[in-house]
Amino acid sequence: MARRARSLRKLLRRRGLARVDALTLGGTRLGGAAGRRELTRLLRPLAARPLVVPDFQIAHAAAFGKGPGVLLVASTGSIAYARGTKGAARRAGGLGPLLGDEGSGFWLGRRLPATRRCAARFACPARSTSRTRRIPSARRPRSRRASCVPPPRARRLRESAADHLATLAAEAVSGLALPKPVPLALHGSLFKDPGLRAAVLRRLGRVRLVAPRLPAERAAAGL
Amino acid sequence: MTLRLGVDLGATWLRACLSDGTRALWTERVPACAWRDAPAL
Repeated sequence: MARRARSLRKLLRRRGLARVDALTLGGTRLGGAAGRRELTRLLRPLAARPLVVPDFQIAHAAAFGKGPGVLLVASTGSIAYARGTKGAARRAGGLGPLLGDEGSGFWLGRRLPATRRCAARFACPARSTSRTRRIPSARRPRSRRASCVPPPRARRLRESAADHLATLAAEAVSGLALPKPVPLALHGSLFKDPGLRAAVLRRLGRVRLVAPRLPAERAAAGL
Repeated sequence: MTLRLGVDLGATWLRACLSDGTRALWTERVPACAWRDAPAL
């Protein structure tokens, strides 16, 4: 926590600033409400009005401003966060890798190397052999990356992830008043996969897809 | 002029934007932590 506050102090100093009027920070894995309180305290020397919120709240603001809508996040973790027309908000998921995060990148990653062949291709340290060459994923040829998981298994995993993600979105909106069709923003690197994106949308039925109006840090800066 | 700093603190990147309430004065992206340390599992 202190390290995060220090890096912000350095960043402001580099820009010739010691203190700003307001600072809104949206972050991931900050240690819940207690962690956010602690970080808020550490940020007081940097801003007259520091505010620390979970990252999905600024992503929601980036997509919908103060308006209603549901944000579905599929990244390392997964969460759905919805705000209704009357301002009430509700979340589902986002419990972290130990308790949940179904449909997330972490959840998928735990299931991928389940077969021996796949584990060898991923070059897991425990199973590495002299014949297994480690290739950083970013430099691994696409065809080889794609061949790590047999297509039927990959498709099943994707469909299963889509089930979980659609369930999160449905849980988040239940009990909230929202416009019809429901405004939905998809957020997170997993949605770069068009197959997963389509599978989730198929399950959610009629929605109005909303693209973020601006990057999250700009939304946090009140723009 | 009211200076507002918005920060998106991800697992690996910190993105910041300073605004005067109507426009962005600057934006910056810096590593939040070494990739081996993130996410905190």
